Amino acid sequence: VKKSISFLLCLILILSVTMVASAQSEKVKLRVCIWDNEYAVIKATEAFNAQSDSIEVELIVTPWADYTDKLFTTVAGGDNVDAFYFRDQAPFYVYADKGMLAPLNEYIEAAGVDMSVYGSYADQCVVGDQVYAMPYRGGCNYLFYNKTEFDKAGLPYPDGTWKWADLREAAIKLTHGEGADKVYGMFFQPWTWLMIFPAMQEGVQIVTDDYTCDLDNDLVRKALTDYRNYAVEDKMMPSIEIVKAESMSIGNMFSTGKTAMTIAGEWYPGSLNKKIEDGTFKGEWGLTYVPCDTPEYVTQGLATKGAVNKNAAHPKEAFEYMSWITGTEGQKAIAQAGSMPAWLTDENKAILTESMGFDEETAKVFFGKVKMCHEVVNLSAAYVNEILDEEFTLFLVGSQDVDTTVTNCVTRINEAIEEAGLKG
Amino acid sequence: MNMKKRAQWRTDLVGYAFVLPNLIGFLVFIAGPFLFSLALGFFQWDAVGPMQWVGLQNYIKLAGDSTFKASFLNTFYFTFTAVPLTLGTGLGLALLLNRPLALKTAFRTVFFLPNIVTVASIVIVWQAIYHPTMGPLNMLLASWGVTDLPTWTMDLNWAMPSIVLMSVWLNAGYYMVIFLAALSNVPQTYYEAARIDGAGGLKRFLHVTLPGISPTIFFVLIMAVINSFKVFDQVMLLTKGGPGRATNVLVYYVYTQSFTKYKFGAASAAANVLFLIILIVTIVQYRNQEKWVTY
Repeated sequence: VKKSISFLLCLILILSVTMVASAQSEKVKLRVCIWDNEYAVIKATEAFNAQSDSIEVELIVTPWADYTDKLFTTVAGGDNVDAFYFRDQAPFYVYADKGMLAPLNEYIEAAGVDMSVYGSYADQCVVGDQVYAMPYRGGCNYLFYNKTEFDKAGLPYPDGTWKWADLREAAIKLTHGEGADKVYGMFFQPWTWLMIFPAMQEGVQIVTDDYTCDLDNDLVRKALTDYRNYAVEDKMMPSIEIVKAESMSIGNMFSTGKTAMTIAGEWYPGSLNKKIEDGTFKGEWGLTYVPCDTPEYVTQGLATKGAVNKNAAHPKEAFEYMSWITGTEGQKAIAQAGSMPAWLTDENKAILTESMGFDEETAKVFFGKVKMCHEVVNLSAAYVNEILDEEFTLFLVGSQDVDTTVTNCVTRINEAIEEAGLKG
Repeated sequence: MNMKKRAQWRTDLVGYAFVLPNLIGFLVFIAGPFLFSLALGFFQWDAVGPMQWVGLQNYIKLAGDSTFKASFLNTFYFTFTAVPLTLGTGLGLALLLNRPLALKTAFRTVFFLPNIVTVASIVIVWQAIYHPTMGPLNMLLASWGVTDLPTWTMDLNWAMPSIVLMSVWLNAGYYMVIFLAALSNVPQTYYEAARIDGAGGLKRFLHVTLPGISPTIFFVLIMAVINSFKVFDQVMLLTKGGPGRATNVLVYYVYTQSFTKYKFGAASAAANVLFLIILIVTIVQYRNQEKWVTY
C-alpha cells in the first residue's frame, strides 16, 4: 500500500510539474521596441509581465540616439516585432502613411476602450479615420525656475501670469557672472518650435492640416527677432553658437544651476528630483505656466505614443499589452515611475503628486487642463524640421535677416510639400 | 593526363576554398548592395511599399534640388582643400621624422594616434578647441590681437575650414606612416650622386625624393580623394551639415534622404552620382599618372 501511495504521489508531482511547465510555455512572447531611458515604459512593462498569465513582453532596448533609425530599419525590413513606441512625433505619421502600423479601430471597439479619456491626445493618434496608436504619456511644457537664483536677485517668483516681456525683464536681472561662473537668466533648448513659440501661442501653425505653410507672418518675425535679441542684445541667454559648441541642454543647464529659468516638459520634475536625491542639483526649483501674451493661456504639448506593428507576430496580444499600458493599471504604473500618464485620473494625479512632492499650487499648474499648440503633426514634419533648423540657425548666427529667413522657410517648405505630393 | 588534371583541380579547389569566405562577404556586403543601389536610383522606394519605376526622374530632381547642389559643391570644397593639406602635412611630418631624431618613435606614435581614436571622441576635443569664447584657438587669436574672432563651426564661412582642419589632423598621421615607408625605400646612392653633382636640399627633394616616392604619392592621392568624397563622420558629429547647409556634403545628403525623408530611390541616385564622380576622378588620376609617376 505504501508503495502504491508513493507511486501515486510521485505521479501527481510529475503531472503537476508538467502542467505548470506547459502552462508557462503557453505564454505568448511579445517583442516590443523601446529606447533606453524611457523608464516609464520599462517599469510599466515589468508590472504588466508580473500580472499577465498569458503574455510575456520582451523589451528590445536601444540607445536613445540610435532608436529612430534602428526602429525604421527593423520595421521596414519586415521584422515581425509586435509593438513599439515612438520617440519622436514625425515618424508616427510616416509609419501610418506607409502602412507600417496596424489599424486599431476594430480592436478598440471589441475591447470597449474609451479613447475620450485621453482628451486631445486621442486626436494625435488618428490619421484619416483610423486610430494607429495609443497615448501612454502626456505632454505639456512649463516654466521651471530656480528659487535660489530668484532669492539671490531679490525677485519674486514667477506667478504664472507672466507675459514674454516679464520673462525678458526678469531674465536680464537674473543674469550674472562670467566664464565658468556665468549664470544665464533663461535657457531655451534649441528646438525650432520654441524659437517661434509666442507666435504659435497666438495661433500660428507651422504647417496646417491641409499642408499650408503659415510662417509668413509678422508674429513669426517678431518671435524670431526677440529670440535672437535675448542672446545678442540682452545676453540673458546663451547664443546659439555657445549652445551648440557646448552641447547645452535643459539637463546640463538648469540642473547645474547655470540658468535661472528654462522651459521644459512634464518629464522634467522626475529628472530634477533624481538630481536632488543624488546631490547634483542643489537648491530649490519651482514650476509655473509659461509666459503667454494671449488672453487664453496656451502651452505646447504632445502625447507620446505606442503602436502595434502591421506585421506583428501576435497583433491581438500586442494590442492587449498596449491597451493595458494605456489603461487603468498601466497608467498607474507610468505615474509610479514618475511620468505623467496620458490618462489623468484623480488616483494617477495623487500618485504623481506624492512621488514628485508637488505642493497644491504646483499640482494645480501641472495637471491643469489648458489649451495646447504643437509643432508639425502631419506628414510634412519629416521635411519641415530640417528646413527650419537650417534657416533659423542662419538667422541666429547673423548670416541672413529675418525677412529672408521667413521667405526661405516658406519657399522651401512649400517646395517640399509639393515635391512630396502632400497637398491635395 | 587525367590524373594530372584531377590533381590540379584539387589544388585549385583548396585555393578557391580559401578565397570563398571573402568572396561571399564581398558579394553579400559590397557587390550586392552596390548593384542594388545602382538599380534603386531608377525607382521611387520608401523601403516599405513596392518599388515604382521612375526612370531618370530621381536624377532630374537632384539637378533641381538646392540642398543637393549645396552638398555637391561642399564635397568638392572639402576634397580640394582637405586632400592637398592632408598629404602635404603627412609628407612634411614624414620628412621631419625621416632623419636622425631623438624620440623619433614617440613622435611617430603621437602623430599616428588620432587614427586609433574614435571620431566621436575626437569631435568632443575639437568642439572644445573651436569654442567661440573659451576655445584655445580663439584665445590664441585674441592674444595675437585678432578682434573679429570667428565662431568656427557656427560661422557660415568658417564651418567648412573647421571640418577640413580637423580632418587634416585626423588623417595626416596615417599618410605620414605610408610616406615614411616610401622614403626609406629611396636608395641612398641617389642622394649621394646628387650631392656629388652639387644638388642642394631643395633640388634633392624635387629631383630625387619626389620621383622616388611618386608611386606612393599616387597611391595615397587616390585613397585620400576617395575618402574625402565619402566624408561623413566629422560632418555628422561636428556640424550636422550646418550652419544652414554650409557643411552639408554628399554622404550626409544621402543619409538625410534615407533616414529622415525615407526617399531611398533619391538617396541611391545621389550615391550613384557620388560613385560616378569618384570613378571619373580616379580614371583621370590613373590616366595622368604616366606624366609624373616614376616606377
